[in-house]
Amino acid sequence: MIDGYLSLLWATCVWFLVGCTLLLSTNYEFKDMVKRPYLVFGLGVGCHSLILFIYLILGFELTITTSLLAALPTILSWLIIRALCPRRSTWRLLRPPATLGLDKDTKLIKSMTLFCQLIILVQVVALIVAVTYMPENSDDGLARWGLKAKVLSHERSLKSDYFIDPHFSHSHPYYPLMIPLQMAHITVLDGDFNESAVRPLGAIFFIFMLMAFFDLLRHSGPDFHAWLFTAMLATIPRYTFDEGSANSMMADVPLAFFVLLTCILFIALKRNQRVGQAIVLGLCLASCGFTKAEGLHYAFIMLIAFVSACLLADRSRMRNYIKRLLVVSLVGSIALAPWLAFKQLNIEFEHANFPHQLTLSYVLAKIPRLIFVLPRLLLEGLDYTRYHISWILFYAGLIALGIRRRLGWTQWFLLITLVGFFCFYSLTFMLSAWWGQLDDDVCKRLMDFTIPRLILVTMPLVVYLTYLSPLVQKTQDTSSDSDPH
Amino acid sequence: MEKFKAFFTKPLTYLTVGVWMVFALLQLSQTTKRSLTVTKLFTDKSEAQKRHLLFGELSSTVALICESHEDARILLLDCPFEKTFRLDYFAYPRRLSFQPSGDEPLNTNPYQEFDLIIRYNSSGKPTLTRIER
Repeated sequence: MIDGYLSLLWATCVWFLVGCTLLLSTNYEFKDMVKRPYLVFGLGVGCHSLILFIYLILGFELTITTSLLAALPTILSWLIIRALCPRRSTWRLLRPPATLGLDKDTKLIKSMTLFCQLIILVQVVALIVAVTYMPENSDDGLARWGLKAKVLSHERSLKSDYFIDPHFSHSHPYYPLMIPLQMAHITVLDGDFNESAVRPLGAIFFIFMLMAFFDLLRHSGPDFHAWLFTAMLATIPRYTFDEGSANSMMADVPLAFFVLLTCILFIALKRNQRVGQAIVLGLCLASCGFTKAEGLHYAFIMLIAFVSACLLADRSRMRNYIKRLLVVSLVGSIALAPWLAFKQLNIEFEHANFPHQLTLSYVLAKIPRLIFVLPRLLLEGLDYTRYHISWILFYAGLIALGIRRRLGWTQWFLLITLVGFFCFYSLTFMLSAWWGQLDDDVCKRLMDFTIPRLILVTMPLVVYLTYLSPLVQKTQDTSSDSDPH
Repeated sequence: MEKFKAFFTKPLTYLTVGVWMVFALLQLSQTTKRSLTVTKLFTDKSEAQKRHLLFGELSSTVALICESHEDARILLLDCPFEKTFRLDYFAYPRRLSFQPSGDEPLNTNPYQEFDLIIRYNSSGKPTLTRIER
């Protein structure tokens, strides 16, 4: 019996191997990869899950060998591409702007930076202690994500009755399998499901999310601002303790990480339209869709936001953008197709195909629900016990943006993305039916425990848009083409 | 105008950062406190003891029986639908059997084939009957 944490370490090595070889295949700069472990990790987890899932569809069992062999396609693609085209120009994600207009590091700034660093450190350590000592305690973590992971660890195959058994329908077998697959991948060395080894997964995603956020901000302005806003994100109470937090076996924090990573890649694509970049972005969008059901909707919304922001703020290279977006969409669709086909062909629960039951009369009948859905969504952020002052600052930032009126591309992109997310939430709650039994009162209860988890995913974008608002940025150019590169 | 703006901007920035620092310190003390409580509660405890502390007798008994019997069979009588959520996780790969309300088995020793029977009364409270084999 190998210790659970060794299994976690082993699994992490495989993710990094996949991420590293995949990035090298797209000719990513090796030196830069070392500076951006979050990119390697995110891409590694996403692609490893997608490849592993294809293996399982092909009938292979989930074993140590298949787990390791999931790295083979990316290693081969790197070797082949290297042999065929040995000299290609490399690319990297973010480049620092030529002039940052740095503030002088006064004593106050230095001590504040230290304070922010300490805050982040203590948050992370406290989280690691909690996930290490405490068993899983969240309802959805146990009944849905944990159960799926147990099924995959035990049966080691997709040919399981679980996906068609009505007894398990409460655990939503049609939910995407990335997190359960990775939990099973972690425990593959132990032979059976080991809860203590998979519990830190959420915390790992949280740490890499903070790294990604800090990196994004560090390339947009002074280091102190980057530390301050990263500390703001890290101290959002909802991220550390509660259902869906990084202290649970759920997919909300991983999805928040993938949404942030996708957002960073979109910002990078705006500046530099390399094919390799488009491929990586396509895979990230597919990873969003394979993490949680709503991830696919987020991916669409971000694609639409990218095009809309280009139309509003920069039409000069529209043809280039469209070409690259075609590559992004093609790669994303191909990567996610096996899961969508599997879901469509194998999982037949009535409530899983709810969109097919939507009629015009049903939609019209549910419109009055918006009267309580919209205020609930808009006022959620004001609950300072969950989000401290981050949303209050965000609303103040929006007002400041409205007064200034001249928005840059990044601001338009983030704003349209967030508005898209909120429209999606409103529609979801307006139309939700839950086996046809969901009346308005049940819908309100559903909102009470679902909205905070949905909001978690948007938080990095909310804090980043606040950072780009005139409240923080002194000059206009910070928004448009001080894009973080 | 610029001077006027600067006059208000600086104090407002300090105030905002100050308010956030208060929240950050509160959050910090809360997370540290919770982590210390978790460490105190769960250190040197077996998985079964941890489960008992967190989920109470019902879930821990189900988990314990499933761990000790490879072919454990558990019967849920009059169980509300949502109560099975966590139990399914603890019981897996064993399946929980259900007996709907008022549908008692007919044979003379009806529950003999089960290891654990969980009966929910009308107010939703469970009682456990553990059958030694």
